[in-house]
Amino acid sequence: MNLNLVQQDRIEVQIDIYYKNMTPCLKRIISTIREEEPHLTGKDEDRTVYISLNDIYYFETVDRRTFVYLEKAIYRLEMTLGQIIDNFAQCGFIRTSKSQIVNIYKVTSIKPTIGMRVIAILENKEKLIINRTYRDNFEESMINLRRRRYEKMDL
Amino acid sequence: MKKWIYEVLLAICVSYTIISIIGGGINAVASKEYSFYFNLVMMLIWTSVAAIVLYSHAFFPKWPPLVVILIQYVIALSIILGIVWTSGFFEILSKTAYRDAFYSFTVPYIIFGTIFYIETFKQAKRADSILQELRKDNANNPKT
Repeated sequence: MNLNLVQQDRIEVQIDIYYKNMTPCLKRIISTIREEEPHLTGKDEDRTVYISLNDIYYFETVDRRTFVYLEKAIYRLEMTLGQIIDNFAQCGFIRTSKSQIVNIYKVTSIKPTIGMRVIAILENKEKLIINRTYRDNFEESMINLRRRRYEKMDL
Repeated sequence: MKKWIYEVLLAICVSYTIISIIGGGINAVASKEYSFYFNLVMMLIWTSVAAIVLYSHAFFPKWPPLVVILIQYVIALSIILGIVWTSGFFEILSKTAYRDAFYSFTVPYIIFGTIFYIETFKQAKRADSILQELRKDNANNPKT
């Protein structure tokens, strides 16, 4: 097994594994990597799916069930929106209403409408309404994210 | 600081209202001049109606704010005109009572409605500007 480690400034950690056969050792490595990366496990009928936070567009509760929306797929989660915010707010997840949380990094723009609604337009062209009562918190959360990013860059 | 100013203003408004109503009541009894006190109480009722109706927007989060504002206006104005009509049973109304009530409520409502409208657009623009900054930063340096 060849192991190449390349140190570069300001680059996201990237791990590529080239293999011929999946071995127990490789499985352990992959498992460790996945534990390091923030992720969730969703359910699609009987299937359990590993979901990277980077792929999530938004979360929504419908009839007390929580769903996670990806670009083209929807999975059910065994978490409440409160738990999601508690665990992943620092990853860019912000509440837009009582029943929705958006991944801010999937929002392309925020626009007001003639009806005085404020909407977030996602990369997949979906539109989420930012509820009036959550607008201040939404802006504050973005400011906090920006501050945290600058603090990390300064370190 | 902003919260402190808000709390101080709130305390001033509440204290002033209580003192005005109690003071007006004492003066009305002492001088037997009830018309000023009646106006004072009417203003309190109007303000209360307007505040209760305006704050009810929180119960309709899924409705477009513009629609809520218009419905609130119609409801609040109807209640206020209803109060004027009811007060007509207890004292003689001036010829311009309904018109005065209409203007007294509509003009401030339009002013505050316009401020709220502009503020909504400004807030959205501000939020979009922060978002673009975050996106740009994230593109250069993904989720540091």
